[in-house]
Amino acid sequence: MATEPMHRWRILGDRLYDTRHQWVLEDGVLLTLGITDYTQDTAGDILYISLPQPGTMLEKGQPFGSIESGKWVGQLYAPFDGVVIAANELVSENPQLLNQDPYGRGWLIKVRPSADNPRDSLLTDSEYARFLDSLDER
Amino acid sequence: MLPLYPVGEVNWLTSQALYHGLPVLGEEGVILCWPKESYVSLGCHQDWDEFDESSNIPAIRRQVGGSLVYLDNQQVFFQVIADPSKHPRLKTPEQWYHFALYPVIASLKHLGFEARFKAPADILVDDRKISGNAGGQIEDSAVVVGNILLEFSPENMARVRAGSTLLKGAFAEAMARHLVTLNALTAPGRVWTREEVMRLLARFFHQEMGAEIQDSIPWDRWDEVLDQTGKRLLQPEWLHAAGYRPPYHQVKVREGVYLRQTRRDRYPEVIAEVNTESKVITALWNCPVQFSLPLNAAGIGEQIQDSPLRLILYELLDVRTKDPMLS
Repeated sequence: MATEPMHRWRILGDRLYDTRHQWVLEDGVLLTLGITDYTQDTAGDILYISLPQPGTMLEKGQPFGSIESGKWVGQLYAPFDGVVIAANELVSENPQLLNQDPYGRGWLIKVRPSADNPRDSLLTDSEYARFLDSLDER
Repeated sequence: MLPLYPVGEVNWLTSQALYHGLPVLGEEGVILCWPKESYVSLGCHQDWDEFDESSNIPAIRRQVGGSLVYLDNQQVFFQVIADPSKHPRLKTPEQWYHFALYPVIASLKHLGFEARFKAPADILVDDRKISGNAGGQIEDSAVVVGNILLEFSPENMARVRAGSTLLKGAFAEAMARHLVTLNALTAPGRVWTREEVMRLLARFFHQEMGAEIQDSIPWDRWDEVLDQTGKRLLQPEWLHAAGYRPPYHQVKVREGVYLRQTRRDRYPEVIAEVNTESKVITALWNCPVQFSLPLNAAGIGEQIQDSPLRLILYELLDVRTKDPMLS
């Protein structure tokens, strides 16, 4: 029997997720990264985002940017190795887009991954939903 | 249980390296300290141009949020460094601020002051700021840092902030109205020592948070990492970085209260004190026309006939207009 999720955050079925509440969407040979509804909701009004320049090498597990809301600076972590191909200038100029449309116009960077299949370490939408539920249970 | 380290006086760089270094070491802790020398601390994403380099004072950029602050030995710092995996109920910045600041509020209430939390991160007494705070994620730690003001010089704070003489003067005047210190709150002649305040905070971090007061400071274990961390925070590419640049010149007085000055050619000398929560202008400097204050958007439309001035004040109040002059 299907059960309703305990959490209240929006999750889309067309992409993968990591446990740092970031999403990854295939875009041809590139992967687009963004933050999830959980991140934007728990952060509150986002004031500023710092993103890497195109050409920056990403190292899995290492910070690639930061985000500020309410005098709190959170880190963005690379879910896989790769090179940044594009950063969303629109979101740098207007960080409120991250609150308004985190899965769409609020995308962060496009990356060419180094490994053949970096998706193996990511979560499906249902796995991420269970992960959010487990946070609520604590 | 977080260990509490009553560190006391340290040099200015160490007062910042401590809370940046413990996450590198993977250690939790509550640090209580104050700097021997005065210095400036810029927020993680703040534009270097907001610092007045001619003030000839050391400067550092921290990895937590907020804006530029003047720090000296008349402030006692508290720094909470925690491992989020050991505090699973704390998920949001707001929850971390409540966790870290509750003992400070309890300390002030114990002294008989009506202290309260003002989101996102101030502590107010009688609606005036006595403690400014900021936070963030450093390495895998959640960090909240702040201070209690024993004494404070608005003039020194205004001196280190970039801006015209007019802006600095208005800033000092606004801070004098919106900030309060521990010594000002207590009976005349009663002067708080930093050691007294540190003991008070230690007592309430122990009572309210369960922090365990340590008898000694493990400098041998910390020294190397603190030294490296301090040097990293002074790297020119980190320290001099560009950052957040609002459409107008802006300085924060306390949560919800800002001084703003247009970057445009018309009326560049007008400075407005804006309450961003009630969306009103509460004070004006160098305005060519006298208005009754406070002034909201409707009041601007009714009282101000001069179109360029009206549009500038709308802009400072964050009221969107379709006028091409401001587009």
